[in-house]
Amino acid sequence: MLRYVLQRLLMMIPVLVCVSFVVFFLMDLAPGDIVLQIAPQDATPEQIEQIREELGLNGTVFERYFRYLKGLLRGDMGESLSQKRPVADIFFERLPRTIELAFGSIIVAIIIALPLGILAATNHRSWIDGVSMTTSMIGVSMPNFWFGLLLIMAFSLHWKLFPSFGADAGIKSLILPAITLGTEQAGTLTRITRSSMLEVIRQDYLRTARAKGVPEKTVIRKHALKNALIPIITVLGSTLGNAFGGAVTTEAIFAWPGVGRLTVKAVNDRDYTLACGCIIMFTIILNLTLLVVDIAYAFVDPRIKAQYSK
Amino acid sequence: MKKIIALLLVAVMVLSLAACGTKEENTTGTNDGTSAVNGTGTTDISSTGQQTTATEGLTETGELAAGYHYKEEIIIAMADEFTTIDPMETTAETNQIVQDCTHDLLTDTNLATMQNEGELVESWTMEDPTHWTFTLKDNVTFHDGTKLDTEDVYFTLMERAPQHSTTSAYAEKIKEFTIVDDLTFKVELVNGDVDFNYVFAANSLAILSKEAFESMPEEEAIKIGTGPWMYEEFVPGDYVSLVRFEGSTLYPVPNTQRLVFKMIPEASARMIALENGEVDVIMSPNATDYARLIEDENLQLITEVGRGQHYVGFNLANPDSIVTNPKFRLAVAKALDKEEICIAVWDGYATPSTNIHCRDMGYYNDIEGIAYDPEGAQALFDELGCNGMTISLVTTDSAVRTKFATNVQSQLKKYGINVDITQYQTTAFNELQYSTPGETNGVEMFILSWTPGKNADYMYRNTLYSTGGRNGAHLNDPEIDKLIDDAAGEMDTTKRAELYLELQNKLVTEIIPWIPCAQATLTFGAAAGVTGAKIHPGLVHQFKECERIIAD
Repeated sequence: MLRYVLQRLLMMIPVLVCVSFVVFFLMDLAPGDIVLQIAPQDATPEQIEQIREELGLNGTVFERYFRYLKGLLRGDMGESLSQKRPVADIFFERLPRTIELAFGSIIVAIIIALPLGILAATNHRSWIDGVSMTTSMIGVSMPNFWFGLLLIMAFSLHWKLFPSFGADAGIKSLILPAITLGTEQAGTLTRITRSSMLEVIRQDYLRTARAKGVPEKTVIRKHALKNALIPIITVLGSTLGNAFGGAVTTEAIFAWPGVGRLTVKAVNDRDYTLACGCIIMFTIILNLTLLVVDIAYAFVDPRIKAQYSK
Repeated sequence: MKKIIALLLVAVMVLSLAACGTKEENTTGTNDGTSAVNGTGTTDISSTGQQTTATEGLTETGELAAGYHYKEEIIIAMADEFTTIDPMETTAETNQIVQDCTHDLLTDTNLATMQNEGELVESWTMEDPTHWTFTLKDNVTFHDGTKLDTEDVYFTLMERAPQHSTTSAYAEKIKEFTIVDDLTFKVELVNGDVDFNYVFAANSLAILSKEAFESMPEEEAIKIGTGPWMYEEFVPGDYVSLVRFEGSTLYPVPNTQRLVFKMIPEASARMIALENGEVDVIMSPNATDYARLIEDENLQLITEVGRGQHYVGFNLANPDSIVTNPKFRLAVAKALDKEEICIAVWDGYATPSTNIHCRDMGYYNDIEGIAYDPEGAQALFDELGCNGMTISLVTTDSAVRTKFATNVQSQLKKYGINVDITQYQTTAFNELQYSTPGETNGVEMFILSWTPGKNADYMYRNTLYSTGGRNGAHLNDPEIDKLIDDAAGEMDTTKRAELYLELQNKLVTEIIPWIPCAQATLTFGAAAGVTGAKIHPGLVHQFKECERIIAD
């Protein structure tokens, strides 16, 4: 198992180099010049060139990339061009809020999706199945922006139960953003849970369990659900990974100080060190999440554990 | 099955109705602290000054009335992020708005008179355009308790400013800085500048404490200013909070104890937070919310005509385009109905422009410009054979520019001209306009705005001077350059005014590199009882004396 984990960690290095290359060159190809954003409006062309030099933006894109890569391999993601502070500091001071939101939304998604998916599968083609699938469809289809504002208007403005923005009020601040983001994730997860459960429910060993007189609840919980978990965990893992970088709309509506908004602003400002740094960090987080997911398979399915041992 | 779907739909409708029904509930005045201050939404919007708001809770002499008190904390919702405490690290208005509360400048714009006046400086004299003497105000105290003197000014301008890309250009203007005594200093300039006092109004040149930099770490020393507010906490991406400076001598000690700037990017979310009583002031509300702000007795709309000149520009360096023909530019100027633009783009919250020069700046002349003349425009277009032609127009992707471009497109369509609109993200647009030569960038017409932050010279030198860094029209006219230079160097104000009048007439009616269309109204939404939230036409809004009176 340890060897497998080490192998996966080593495999991340070329992935990160590739990602840094692609992101860096895409940022360079995109039209826009951060120097024009930073320079005073009355700066002369000479002063603009001076600022460009000070920011290390002179030279060809290859020279700049290799300078950046050299720093990256030493663990130095450089300094933000717009904020003039180390990228790592900026990213990590925002990451805790994003982790809160990502885990909060996953919890909401699990609370909604697992019961709905299981109910839909165990009551296949009944009205319960229909309701579950309709609900999941609504969850997937509703735009985050609209649903978030609806929640704010109902629960903040009308009933005054939760704050409408920010992250200062602890768990109360987290509830509405987590529901907004989690509802969308729950839609997909419900459908995956249902289809995975349906596949398992039809297996012979469940029929045998029932024939042996095992209570239906135990059949579902111990035999069916456990075997249906692998695709569910896979989707959960990638959903969690995506939530780290993909919660931009939710962060904007609720003024949530996370890394999603930070990254979009960095890209818009053409702050390539900050944008590249954020995207590289997302890649690391997504890779680590998928690694944890792979390890989790072993705990759910002994056959996979045996494969890792080999 | 159908019943269940119907039930679900009903549930969604109930949620929607609950959400949509909030306005009625909110106007009953149940929000904390707002219900007692009624009738404060009556406003008087003048074209020259801030909106005045009659505030309950004050006596005729301006003292706090019995039964009222100042709210301890004012929360201001901003659209953009505050990113840095260091005034020299930024030119972004959002940062400068906060820094304006904590740090002061040598000179600044008086928002009541719109004149450049001394802030930390008591007086100044210009011996000739290259030799200036400034005297500081006495007894001004920094947050660390030290007194402001000329050593601090020298340290800021001559030691720290040259180290920063945003301020080094200002420092380079000074050839020699001489300290005369604790309060007097002289500067000799590299090149003469009759408006040099305006340079000291640049927000990035806020005066820092030399002693603080000698006695504490840089990240702490940078927070020390002379403003009536001191930094308390900065949570990146979330908020920055200030506490009042009890030892403030330059400004009265604020009645409010804590000022918090919150970052809420979405305008609709800011409006909800204001209605919900979670914030006291919001910047840049949606135009669609103005009516709610005016009608709700718990809220108010604060307005001020902005300095930003919104215009349609022409790339005069494009050799393949008809826009290089002055007759075509004149025809477009006659063709555009600016009143219609103001209504379509800003819901009427804008003032049509006749002059390129911004209304609130010195040397503005109320010239006639080119009046809306559809028949005259059609005749010119016919003469040029423009019927059925297609012309390209570029602009940024903001909502205002989208509406503006679409309106210009529909107005020119009436004359048989098709406008092909391309929108760019701001940084991409800036690069296209300013870093790519006008001969090759392919631009014909563009929509943009210009918000000059300083003096009359600044209005023209960067945007219409042949070597100006923001000369998107690529105007290269020696006569215009000479007029700009002559006006900037003229010490006699009467002669100077004449030169600016000549320049304005020439640009607006003869050369027409831009068609000035409108100066948009800048707005704040605020809770009732809020005063001292001052809109700056140049966008560095002032909250130094922001307070809110509420009933006990």
